[in-house]
Amino acid sequence: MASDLQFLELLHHIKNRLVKAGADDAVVSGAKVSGSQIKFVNNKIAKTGTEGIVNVGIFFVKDKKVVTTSFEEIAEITGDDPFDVAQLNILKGKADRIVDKLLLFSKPLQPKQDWFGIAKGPFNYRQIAGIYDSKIANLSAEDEVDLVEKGINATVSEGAKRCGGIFETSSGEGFLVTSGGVEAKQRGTSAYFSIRAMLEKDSSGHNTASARTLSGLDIEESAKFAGHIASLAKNPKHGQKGNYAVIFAPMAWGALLDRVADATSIFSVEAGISFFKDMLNKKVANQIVNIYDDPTLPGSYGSYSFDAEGVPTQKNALIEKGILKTYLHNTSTARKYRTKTTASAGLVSPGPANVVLEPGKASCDDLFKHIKKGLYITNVWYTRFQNYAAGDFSTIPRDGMFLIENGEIKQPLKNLRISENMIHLLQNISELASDSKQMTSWEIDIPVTTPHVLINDVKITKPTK
Amino acid sequence: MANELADFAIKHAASLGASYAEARLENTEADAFVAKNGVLEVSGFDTSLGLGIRFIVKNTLGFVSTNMLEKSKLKHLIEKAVKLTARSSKITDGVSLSKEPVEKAKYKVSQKKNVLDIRPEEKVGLLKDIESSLAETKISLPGRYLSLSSGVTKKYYVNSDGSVIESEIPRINFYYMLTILRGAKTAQRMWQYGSASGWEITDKWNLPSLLKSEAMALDKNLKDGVKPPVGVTDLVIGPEIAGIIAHESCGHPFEADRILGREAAQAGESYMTIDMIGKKFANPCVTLVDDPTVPGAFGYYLYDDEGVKARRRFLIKKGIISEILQNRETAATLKTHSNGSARASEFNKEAIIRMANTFFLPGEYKTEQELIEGVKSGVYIKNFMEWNIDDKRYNNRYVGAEAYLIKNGKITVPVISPAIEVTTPALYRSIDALAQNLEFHSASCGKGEPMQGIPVTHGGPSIRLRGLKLGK
Repeated sequence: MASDLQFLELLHHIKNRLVKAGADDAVVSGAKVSGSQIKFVNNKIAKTGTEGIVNVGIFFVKDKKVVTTSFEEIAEITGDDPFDVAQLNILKGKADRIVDKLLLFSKPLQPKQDWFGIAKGPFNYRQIAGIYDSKIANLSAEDEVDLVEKGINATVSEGAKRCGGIFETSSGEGFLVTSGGVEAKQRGTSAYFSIRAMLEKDSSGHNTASARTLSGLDIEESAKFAGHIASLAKNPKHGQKGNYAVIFAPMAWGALLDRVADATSIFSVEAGISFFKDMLNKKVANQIVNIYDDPTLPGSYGSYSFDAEGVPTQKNALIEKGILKTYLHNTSTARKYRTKTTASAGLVSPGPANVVLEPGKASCDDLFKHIKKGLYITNVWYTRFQNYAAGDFSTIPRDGMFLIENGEIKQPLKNLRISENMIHLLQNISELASDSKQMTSWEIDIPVTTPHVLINDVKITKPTK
Repeated sequence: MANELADFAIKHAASLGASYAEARLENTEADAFVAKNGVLEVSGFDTSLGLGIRFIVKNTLGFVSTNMLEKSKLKHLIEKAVKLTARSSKITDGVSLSKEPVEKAKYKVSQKKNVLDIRPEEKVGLLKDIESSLAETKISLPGRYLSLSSGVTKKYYVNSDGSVIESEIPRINFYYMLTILRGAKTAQRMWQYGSASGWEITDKWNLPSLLKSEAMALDKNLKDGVKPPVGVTDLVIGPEIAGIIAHESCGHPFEADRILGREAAQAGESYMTIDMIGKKFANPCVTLVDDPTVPGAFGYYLYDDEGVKARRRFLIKKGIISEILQNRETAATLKTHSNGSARASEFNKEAIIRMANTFFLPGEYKTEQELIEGVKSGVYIKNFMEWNIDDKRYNNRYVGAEAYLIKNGKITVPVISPAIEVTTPALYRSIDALAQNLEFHSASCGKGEPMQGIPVTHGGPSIRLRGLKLGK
C-alpha cells in the first residue's frame, strides 16, 4: 500500500489548494481501516465479515461558509506497491477537481456568522499507551474463531441454552493536516465482543467486552456474566408499577450515561437536545457524582491523541460533586462562548469520546444490602425522549431484571419500563459501587466506564392492558 | 470498469471454493444542508463508491467489502475473507439459500426535477422558507434544527446464479426538531419526511406550512392543555401513530431473522412464532401490509439486495396472521421462498431482512371525523414524540404530542402527553375501525450490527381503539 508519506503528501496538496483558493480554514483528514467480524447465532457462527476502507475527508470554510466533502476515488493509493510520481499526479488531479467542485458548491451559501475558526498549531502530541496492538492487527482466522468458541462455551457453562453475538476487530491509521499548521497521525486497534445468552424466551443476559489490546479483552468473563444473568432470570413474572430504588448494572446505566455525556456537547445545547441548557455551574446531580471525559487514558476504548482539528486531547471534568462544570467545545464554539476549547472537536458538533463515572467505595453487595424493596436492572434499550430540553424520557429494561427484597434477589421480572427524567435520575443517585467496567454496546455509542449505580425513587410503569 | 470488478469478484470467490457468490456495487452521490436556529451550520456533498461481496464457503456465509476498487487489493481481501469463513465452518450449522428465479433487470425512478441538478441555493431556500414561516407564528421557538439531504444511489448487483440487476433510485430526506417555549414550559417535536422521488416531491410536502401548523398546535397544547383522562377510554389515532404501530409491533416482529434468533444479540427476537401464522391476531377490519413497490415511498425498491423480485407482503389479512418477511437464508430454513425483504444500508453492510413500506390498509370509514363521531368520551392523538417497544415487540409505548379530548363525538381541548402503554395483543384487539385517509410517513429504521439505518415508510389511515387505559 502507498506509504504514509505519500498519503500525507496528498492531504497537504488538498489543503494547500484550499488555502490558495482563499480558505479561512481547511482541515483534511485521511483514514485507512481494516476490520473483521464474526457474527454468531444460537451457539453457531452465522456469518463473517472482512473490510478494507480508505477515505479522505475535507472541511473547508471560506467567508464563514462551512462546507464538507469526502474524496473516495483513490484506488491508486491502495495498490500493493508505493506508487510512482505519475500515479500521485493522477490522484492530485482528481483531488483538484473535487476542490473546484467544493468552491463552486460553497459560493452561493450563507455564512455561519458564529464560526470563529480552527485551532492554530502545530502541537506536540503525547503518545497514548496501549491503544495499538499488533496482536489485534494481525489476528489469525484460527484465533478469531477460537475466541468466539471460548465465549460461546463460557455462557453454556453458566447454564445458558443458546447465545448470540458478535466479535469485531479493527485496525487503522488516521492522518490530519490543517491550515492551522497541524500535521498529525496516529494508529489504533480495537476489539469488541458482545454476547447475549438465552435460557428461555423471556430469560436472557447480555454483556460486552471492549478493548484496544487483545490481552485487555476478557471474553470469557464477559460471557460468563451473560450466562449467569440468563440463568438467574428463569421464569420471570410480570412486574408492578411504582417508584423503586434501582441498582443499574454497568450495561444498563452505561446506556443512560451515554445520553448524559452527549447532552454536554454545546451543539446539543444549542440544538435543543440537551437537558443541561442554562445549567452550567449548577447542581445537576447528587454531590457524590463525578463524571469526566478523558480520551487520554492509556488503553481505553475511546482514547485518541488529537481531536478533529488537531488539538491534543485532554481530561475534562463534566460533572464535579454534582455540579455541571463545562460544555464540550471545539475552538470555534469556545471562542463564541469566550472559553477554551475542551479539545472535543467534531468540527460541526463537539462531543464526548471516553466518559468515566468515578466509582464509589461500596461493594456491589453493599448496594444490594441497602435495598428493602427495589429492582436490579442489567440492561436497557430503546431510550426515547418526550422532551430532550426537559429531560423527560422512557427506556425499557431488557434481559435479566429482578425484584430485590431485604437485600436479596427475590424474583426475576419482565415487561416493565423506566419512565423518568434525566435530571431527576442524576439527583437521585444515592450510591456508587467500587466496581467499574468500560462499556460499549448496541445502545452505547460513546464508550463509558461506570460502576453499578443505586438510584432512588425511579418511576417504573407497565402496560395498562 | 467498476462493474467488471464486481463480476471479477464473484468469479474470484468461486475460484477459491465458493459455492455461491454475489456482488453489489453501490455508487451514491448526495448533498446535505443543516440549519440550526436560522443559521446554516454546515453543507456538503459526498460521493461514495464501494463493493460488497457475499459468498458461501464450506457451507458458511462470508461477507467482504471495500471502497479500494483495485484488482490486487480486492483479490487480497477476498482471500482473507474466504480464509476466515472457511475456518469458521468449524462451528456452523451450515447455511443454504432458497432457490429463486434468475432475474435480469434494469430500472430507475424517473425524476421530473433531478435532485442532483437542483442548485444548493434552492435547497437552502427551502430551509429559509421554513424559517420565515415559523417566524410568522410569533411563537417562541428557541430550538430549530432542520436538515435536508438528497441524492441518487446506483446499484449493480450480480450473483453466481446468473442474476444481473441494475437500479437507480433518488432519495430526499428532511428531518426537523422544534422546541417550543411558553413561560417556563417547553414542548418538542421531531419528524421526518422522505421519499424516493425527484425534487418535485418537496412541492407536495409544503413543509413551511406543515411546520407552522405544528408549532401553533403545540404552542396551544402548552397553553391550554389538560391532563389525560384516567380510566378506560376510547382513542382515535392519526396516520403517523398508525404508521409507527405498524412498524414497531407488526413489521419488526414479523421479520423471520428475528423469529429464528439471528438478531437476538442486536435488535432482539419476537413475540411471534412460526406456528402463529394462520392464527387470528386482530379484528377482521385489520389488514396490514409491507410493500416495497409503492411508488415514491422512502423504502421503495423493485429487487432486493439478494436479487429477488419485490412484491406486496400481507402480514395481517383480515385479522389473520398471513405472512412474515423473508430473505433467502430464512426461506431456506423454513422451506419456503424469499419474499424479497433483504436490504443493506450501504455497500459495506450485509443484506438483512428489512421492512420497506409498512402500513394498515384503509378501512370502511370515509374520514377521520367519522371515527371521532363514534366516540362519546376519549382522546384523539394526532402525532407523537416519545415512543419505544421492548425487544420482543410486546410492550409498546407511544406518547402523544398534538392531542385533544373527544367529548360526544367532537374534538375539544388539547391534552398534554397522553401515553398509550399497552401490550401488542391488547393493542391489536382494541382496533375496531379504520378510516380511508391513508398517509405514508418516513423514517430511518435501525437494525443489524454494525448498525444499519435504512429508509422505510410506515403509515395507515386514522384508527379507532376501544377500551384502553392511558398510562402515566
